[in-house]
Amino acid sequence: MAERNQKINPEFFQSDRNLRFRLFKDKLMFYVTGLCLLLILVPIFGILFEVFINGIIGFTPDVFTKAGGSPLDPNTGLLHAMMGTFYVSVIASFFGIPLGIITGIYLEYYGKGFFSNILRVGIDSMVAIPTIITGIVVFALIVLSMGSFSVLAGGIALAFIMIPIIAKTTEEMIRLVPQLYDEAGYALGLSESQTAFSIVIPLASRGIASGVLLAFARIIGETAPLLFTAFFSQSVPNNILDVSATLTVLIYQYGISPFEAWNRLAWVAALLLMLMNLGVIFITRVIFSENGVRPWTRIAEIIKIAFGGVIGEESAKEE
Amino acid sequence: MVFEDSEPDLKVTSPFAGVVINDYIFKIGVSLIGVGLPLVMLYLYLNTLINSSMNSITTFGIGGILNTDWSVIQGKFGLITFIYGTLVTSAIAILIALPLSVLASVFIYEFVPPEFKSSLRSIIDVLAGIPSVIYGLWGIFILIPFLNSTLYRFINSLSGSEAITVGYNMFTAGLVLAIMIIPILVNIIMEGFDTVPKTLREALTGLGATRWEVSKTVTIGTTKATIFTAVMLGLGRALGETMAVTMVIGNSNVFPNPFYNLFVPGQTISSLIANEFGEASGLQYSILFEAALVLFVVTTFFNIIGIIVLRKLKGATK
Amino acid sequence: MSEIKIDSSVFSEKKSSNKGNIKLQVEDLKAFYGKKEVLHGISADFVENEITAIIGPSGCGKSTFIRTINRLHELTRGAKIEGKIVLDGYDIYDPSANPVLVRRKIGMVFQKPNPFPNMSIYNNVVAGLKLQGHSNGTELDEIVNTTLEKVGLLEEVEEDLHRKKGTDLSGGQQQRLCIARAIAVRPDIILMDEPTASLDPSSTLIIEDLMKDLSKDFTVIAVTHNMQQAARVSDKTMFLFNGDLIEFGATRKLFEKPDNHLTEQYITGRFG
Repeated sequence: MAERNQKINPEFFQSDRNLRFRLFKDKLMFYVTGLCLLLILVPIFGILFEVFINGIIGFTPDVFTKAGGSPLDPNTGLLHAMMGTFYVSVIASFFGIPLGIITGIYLEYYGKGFFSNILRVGIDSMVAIPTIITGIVVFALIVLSMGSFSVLAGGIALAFIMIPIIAKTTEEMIRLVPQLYDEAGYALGLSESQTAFSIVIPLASRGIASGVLLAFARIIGETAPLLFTAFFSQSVPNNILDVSATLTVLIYQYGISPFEAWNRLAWVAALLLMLMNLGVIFITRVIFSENGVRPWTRIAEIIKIAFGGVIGEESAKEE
Repeated sequence: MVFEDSEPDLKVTSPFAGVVINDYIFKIGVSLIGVGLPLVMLYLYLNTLINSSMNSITTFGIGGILNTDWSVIQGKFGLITFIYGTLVTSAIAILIALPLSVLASVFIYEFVPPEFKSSLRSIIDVLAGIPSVIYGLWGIFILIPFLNSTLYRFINSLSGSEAITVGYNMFTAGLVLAIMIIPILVNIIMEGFDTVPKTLREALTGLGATRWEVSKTVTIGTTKATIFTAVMLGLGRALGETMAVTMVIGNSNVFPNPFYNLFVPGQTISSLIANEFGEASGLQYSILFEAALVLFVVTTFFNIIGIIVLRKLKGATK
Repeated sequence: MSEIKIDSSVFSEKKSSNKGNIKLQVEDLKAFYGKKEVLHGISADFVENEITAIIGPSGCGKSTFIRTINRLHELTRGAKIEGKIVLDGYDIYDPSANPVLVRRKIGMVFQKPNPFPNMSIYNNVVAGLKLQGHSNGTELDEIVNTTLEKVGLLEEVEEDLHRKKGTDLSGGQQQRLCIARAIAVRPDIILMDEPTASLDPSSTLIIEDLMKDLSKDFTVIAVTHNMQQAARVSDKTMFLFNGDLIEFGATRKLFEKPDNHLTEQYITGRFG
């Protein structure tokens, strides 16, 4: 018996030609798919690497204290652009966060029936609108009527982008709260609004907060909607009606300019922007990770909506 | 609870009435914003786009824009060059990004150990958030010099002529777009892979399939609709992208000659708007809105196809 | 075996003379998940053209045991085995043995019917054959017909072979389709992991009849949670408990006069 086990039947174990080819293909595809992963990771990490290196090389303390100026002036900084980004994102959040959340609550609580589905398609398509279009529409609406570029116009353009994203993510995140909590609220004799505000929305708050944070990360990285709204300038804005540079527009303007000093500052701005932007995403992911207290926060889902313009997904409410 | 304060003022006597009024106020308030705001926003978008482009629509009609002549001075505003540029750069992006994303996802799914898998996926997720203007900056200072000294030099030496004279061209733009949409594609495709039942994989393995055959037939085979959706949405993103394209495409308003030469500077609708809107007035201003309207229709078209497929898919899996 | 015989008569011709041959030997088989040993040295011989039922309480290692037989076990992360499994005299865990070929000789039917949702009924049946490079249409048609005939599905789906997906069928039909898919590649052994667990009683009876029928051509090893089923269909029964083989023998004997008191307790329903 022991001897029998040792012998190798060539017919049985050795592969026929077809199988040898299949196994070769199997092995080959291991390397091919691995190479593909490498090919997608190299540029992505290359970008991170280059931004860090070039950003650090160009960094001086002046960056935080000085506004812009002539490309020949060595003592210029990014203060004006940082203030501009601060203004536009605060204005956008001021309008965008509450309005977006309320719209999301509406969609989840009353958004049933034909009309609401039309509304939902409308919001979906606004999530996916090319942001340059938002920029020129707000230009026509605000800049033309007010007679000048302003950070207010920039902020409103960004709010236009923020609202549909927050509405979608809020709706999704409330929906993820299991039905049984609604029922628990009703069973306690709470009304619909009480159940909503004291039970369901607090349970969804992590998810909603993640949606808000990621929408914020998305808008601070936006350039196109600011090109013709907040526009560009070399001085620090004094109030919300001032025209101003922002980090993103500055990266664009300085990046395409022929001046080396400006190119250098563009990289520094890129580093600052990326630290803020990826920082917010990263923190959101860590604080509100799926393994956290509330298992029904789906960061990956929100990232898709906020950065991919990925829409139309509806997860079923858990029973 | 916010509304509870108003209860006594309403002098409600029935023990049930207060609750009803709370809900009523809640419903009215939320509905006003929930219905009103999206409608107003949609109205503003459409009304502005259509009103502002009315001037050029009535002046040129359809024929006036369906040509390749663009000259602000001569008042010629053909949009074909830019529509072509938009479609071509997006097509290049998808053709590069799709196979890479699918195959890389297969590798992550099959071969990356679980302890690295989730962190790798989070990193790719997070990187989906890199602002597009940074892709543009990287394109100008890193990618184009790199391509000039490698791929483009190679092609030039092959063809024995200086076929590619500038790194700022439509192919470069497509490549940057590809790199930009890959994280989102991987995200969607991986999520599709997650839904493939383990038992299907085992069934094919049990029939004597190799690992790659299982990946091809089951993992990819059963998620084709998801992959299609990813393409549609990636396309939606690529078509509308402004900054990453504007910074590397070379911004030429001339139709490429011959049309299949993708290694020449070009222009997309978004990059046209970004470049010309600042100084535009009169008819030029109006035609840029018309171009935006065209872009809006095209991207919405692809997105709606994506949504429909996704909905169908979700319905089918339930 | 380098090629699958394309012969519609194979199902009935094969070897009633082989009855009594030992087809598969399991020698001191230990299975692990990481460091945890879930099977503690199991040895058993399986006789050609017999049905062996594996019974035992949940978590006793039944599924792990049959998943080691076609080397599916090792695909789970951290899972490994020690010991030997010998098919027709050849160790399937021999370093030179290729799991792909092993699985071609040892088919499997799963607990839940799992036809490929992206394939028609026809393509589900020939999925394994196509992988092996069979592309001759008439031959494949032939195989589809005989195989579906064999599982009693032909009449029910003849019209819809290409039109319907495997997943469009009812649960019982799906499971018969999965059996057809497994036998279409002409394995020597068919493993079944609780094949009727998710089916209604009438579909269960059909599958049980089919199992008996299959044993004319194949060696069948089936895990079942249902002792009546084991008693109804199997020639031999194997009782596993906590990863140990407690008793293995002729079904009738095991159910009527078990040697081990644990077996007796289990089959009389005192635990499990």
